[in-house]
Amino acid sequence: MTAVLEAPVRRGFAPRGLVWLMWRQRRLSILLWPVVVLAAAVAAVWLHGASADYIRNHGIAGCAMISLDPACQQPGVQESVSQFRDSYGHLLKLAGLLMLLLPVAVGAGLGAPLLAQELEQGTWKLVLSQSVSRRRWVLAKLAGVAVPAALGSLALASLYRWAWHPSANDVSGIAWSSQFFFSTGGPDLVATVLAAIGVGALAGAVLRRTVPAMAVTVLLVGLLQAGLSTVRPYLWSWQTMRVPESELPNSVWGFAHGLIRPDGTRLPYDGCGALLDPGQCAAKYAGTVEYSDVHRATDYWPLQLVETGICLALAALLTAATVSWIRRRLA
Amino acid sequence: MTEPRTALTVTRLGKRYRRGWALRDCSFALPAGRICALVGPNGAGKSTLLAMAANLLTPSAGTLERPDGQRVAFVAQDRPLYPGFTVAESLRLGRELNPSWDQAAAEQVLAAGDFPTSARIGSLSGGQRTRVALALALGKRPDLLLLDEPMAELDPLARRELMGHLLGQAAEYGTTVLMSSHVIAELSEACDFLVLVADGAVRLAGDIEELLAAHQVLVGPGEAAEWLAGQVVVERREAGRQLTSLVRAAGPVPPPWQAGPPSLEELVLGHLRGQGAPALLTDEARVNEMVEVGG
Repeated sequence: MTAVLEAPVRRGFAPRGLVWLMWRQRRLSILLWPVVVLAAAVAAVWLHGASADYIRNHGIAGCAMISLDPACQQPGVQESVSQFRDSYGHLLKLAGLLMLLLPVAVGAGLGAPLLAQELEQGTWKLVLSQSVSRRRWVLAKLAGVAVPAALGSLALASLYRWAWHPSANDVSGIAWSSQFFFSTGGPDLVATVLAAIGVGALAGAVLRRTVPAMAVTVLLVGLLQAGLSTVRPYLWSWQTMRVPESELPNSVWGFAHGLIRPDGTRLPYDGCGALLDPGQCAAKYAGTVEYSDVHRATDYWPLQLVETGICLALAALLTAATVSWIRRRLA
Repeated sequence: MTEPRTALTVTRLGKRYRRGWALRDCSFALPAGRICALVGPNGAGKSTLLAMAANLLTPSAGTLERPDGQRVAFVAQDRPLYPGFTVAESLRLGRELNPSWDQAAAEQVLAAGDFPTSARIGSLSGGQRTRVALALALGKRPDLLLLDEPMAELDPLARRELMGHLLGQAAEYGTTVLMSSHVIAELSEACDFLVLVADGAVRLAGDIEELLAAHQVLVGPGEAAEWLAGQVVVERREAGRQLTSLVRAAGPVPPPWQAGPPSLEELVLGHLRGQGAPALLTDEARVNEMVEVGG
């Protein structure tokens, strides 16, 4: 090649090529992440500090509304816990709810328009008329959204985890297994956000219109999250405790309950027919006791990592499908 | 193997959409260095052909061959540009995404434009956007330049100036140009090669001089029409007792016919109005299809 021309002189860290294009196109959404993380950090510092102070001042560390620990059965403890839940606990739940909506928001807000907008406005023809392959373009576009989103949601999950920690499980009543914390306070959040971006990008590539792609993304990511929370207990081996639901410690996640006979056969609570009282039932089926299928707190990380793996695999699959769609099916 | 002197070879090319074939069985060769007009009525498949040549559209049938390493630039009819970018940023896009980029060539196109490079694309008129799109295309220093209705939104002055600049650049660098248009008058000055598509098929292809020389406009009385029966008649029109006909005459024209050379406009319109004559491709434009010998 003889026609390679002198490139203009560039300074140190100036982005080049597709990286420059991604930065130029997405700089607003990229800069939004540090702003959101910063705001969340301020909130988390305050909530963490205020929660820890409250718990220390009222001496309610490790106490739930009803606890077996004698230290928690002092007068006033129940009122203090109740008051905590009505104030800081509410805020913590609200923050968890917002975090729970993050995958849907990122998938529909950043993922869905990613390719749909280019296809809608015809600008894909501009980029692909340059010396850029479809594969590289799609991967760069996905990375331009996914990398900031992964870093941002990792920061948010860590902050939430830290803010949750002082009142974890007992005082706030938000257990490690709660929907508000499990999906928002760990790597699972990052993986779900990445999968949501994949859903949005593929929907946008296939539908070619931004608004329908956003609607489909909201629906599909919602279904994904609901599906994950349904199968979650079965993602790692669990134990059966012969303890009624109401007597389980706060740190144990009981997700299925019923009656069990000495030979191991299980009966649902209404297995005794019209006899609603477990005591009467026990009389009918000698030796029957209440059981709970449970995960202990030590199962948090295995469960978390399996679910993270599922979402990352889904994100990789959706990325491959999006690249393949743009390469083969786009015009 | 594509011959090095051919910039684009199209063989039995077809594109099918849900509503039917936009282009079908289209074959022609475009020699390197020519300025080719791609002419045809709206919906004839011009844009489809150009988009396939630009690798933006996948053919449903047939093949497109271009020499290895050929640089292609394409200006689509809707002039896709990012509306939020400035003119300077749009050029930077070209610079960042092309290994060989000629900033000066791009800036020359903008020089005669009456807008600053700090202007947002979204604030430009259609003609100004065309200028930016052309600047991006020429900055790429293409070997093959594909232009879809390049002059559509330009005022006559800009049209003349830009076309002149384009032809100058093409001559200097040996660029092959394939441009679609339905304004025939402006093409006759700029182009030396013609591809006429109608109803999704190629009707004429070749050097314009050669195509013109192969046709004659005959004027004569209606009674003499009998002689026409033995000729390839592209089109015939009767006005009163007088008959005017565009023919590909095989030999000398006998009296009382008066023969004259057609203009490019007459040639194109004749072929668009009269659909009877077979397609005519000159030797240069014909594709040497490999005929597979069976058995």
